[in-house]
Amino acid sequence: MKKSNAQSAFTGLVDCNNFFVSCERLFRPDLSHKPVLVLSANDGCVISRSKEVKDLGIPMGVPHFEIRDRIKAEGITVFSSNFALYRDISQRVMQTVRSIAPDSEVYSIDEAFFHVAQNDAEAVAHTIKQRIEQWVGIPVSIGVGETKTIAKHMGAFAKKHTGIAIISPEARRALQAASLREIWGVGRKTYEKLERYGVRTVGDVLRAGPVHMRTHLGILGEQLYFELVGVAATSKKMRTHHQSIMSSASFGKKVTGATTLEDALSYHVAQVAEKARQDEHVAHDISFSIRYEDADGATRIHTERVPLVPPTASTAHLTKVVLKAARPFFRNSFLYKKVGVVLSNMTTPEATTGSLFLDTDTTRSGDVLMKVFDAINTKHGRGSVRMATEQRTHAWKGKSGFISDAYTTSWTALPQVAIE
Amino acid sequence: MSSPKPRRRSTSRAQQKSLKKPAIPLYVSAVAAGFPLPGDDAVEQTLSIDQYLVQNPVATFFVRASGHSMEGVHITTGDILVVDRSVSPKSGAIVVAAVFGELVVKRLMKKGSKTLLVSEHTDYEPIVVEDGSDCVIWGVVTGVVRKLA
Repeated sequence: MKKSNAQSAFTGLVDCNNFFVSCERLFRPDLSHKPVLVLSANDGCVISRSKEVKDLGIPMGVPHFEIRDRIKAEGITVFSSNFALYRDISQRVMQTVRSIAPDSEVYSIDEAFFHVAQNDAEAVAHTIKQRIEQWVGIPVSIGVGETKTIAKHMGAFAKKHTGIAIISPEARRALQAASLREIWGVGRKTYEKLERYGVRTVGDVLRAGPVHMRTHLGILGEQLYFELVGVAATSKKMRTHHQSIMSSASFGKKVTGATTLEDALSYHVAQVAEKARQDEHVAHDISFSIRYEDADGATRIHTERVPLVPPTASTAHLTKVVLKAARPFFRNSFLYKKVGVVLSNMTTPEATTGSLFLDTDTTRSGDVLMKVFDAINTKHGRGSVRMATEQRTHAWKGKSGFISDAYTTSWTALPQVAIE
Repeated sequence: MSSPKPRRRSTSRAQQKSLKKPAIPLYVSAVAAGFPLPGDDAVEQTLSIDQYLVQNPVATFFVRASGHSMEGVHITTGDILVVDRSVSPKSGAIVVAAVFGELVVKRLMKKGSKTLLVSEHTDYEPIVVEDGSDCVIWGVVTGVVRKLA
């Protein structure tokens, strides 16, 4: 019955420190140790802050216009989001993790979980941190524990203190005292519900036990108990591709005109379709949403989901489907505020069941077309070839007044180095 | 103490597998009865300049050189430099360094315990790389790319 320690698997979380800021600093060594922040799409609000900006007390999510004066006074360097850069650097980080811990999964653009034998945890965590920082140049923190929830908690500790934090008897005592508010996956509503039963800390959950937790919160409560006690409860199934892919943006200004809406929808479809093809997946559903003011000035949202038969990742096919379904909303009397497109129910092309009515030859030639499409866009820059409905007038597109160059994705924007 | 054991076992299993199973080459054309196409016994392979220049894609970045030329190493303004951050810099290597907040190309020289960044030009004094000196080796230049036409 005695379980060998060597066999027990630990989970680690690699988390890039203020990832977007770190990406911006990679080719700008003049900005290390200086206050830097990155704004969301449309230069709306703060989404990434350097330590110096955090120390100034500027909170996450604050609108740009509210802090204009402080930015000037403190000499903060501001960037618009440069997702082409962040995606490239993110892929490098993830591949580096995989080169050391093949059993890993991407959790977000700047986080990855990996699985490791308990005895190797410390060595592996150090190797991962050292290698990412040397190879890619992005600082990371690593937390390790029995489950994802504990790894996430240790990661938060590592970020503040030591860079790497591994669960230990001492850390476990601290964890028991921790408020559930600090625990991954416990939202405000869940917390309030548990508080009514006097369950406020991790220790309270452990004392309540799985049965009570299940009565309080259902299956989620039981899962939370096991995650905190150190038995992995979240699905162990590795997820290496996106379950769904979204692209959406508010318009920089309210726009009118059917062609502008068509342009914006086509743009977002092109974005999600390209990502799906990178994952080598096809979507079984596509949804779109349009937020607009109607002729009477009332704000409305229309959301619609269209099943895809056959499942596809072809920009041409998806554009046709979305524009057809959205046709009733192309009115010159409408003021458009925001559109978005989501691909969902993603699978590999092989996993799709064939249809009797399906002209497989057409899908095949579609695949070839999309391969050429992607090859040209990689070589000459995104948008070099596109559907005619995507006009790139970009009348709808928002501000990005402080964007850095596409350092790693365009030959014409490579970082400059001085020969001396 | 017992942790290396299962790994050793799995390695040897992998080795046995690779011994038993010979590599199967991929042929260009479909197998058909009859006379094979001449030359079809060659395994499909194309040359890629990427593969030649880039050993470790994850750690490799391209940058563009500008300024004086480094005649000794044939680098001139407009060249694309292949910079590999995973290569450890040896004495004599051409490196990209962050010097006082700027990315510059220099030659790295190790003299005794000292690491120096040396310029090809006499206008620049050698810079000593040490902890806290605001000079960091960013990566090693492993290749130069230039288009002539």
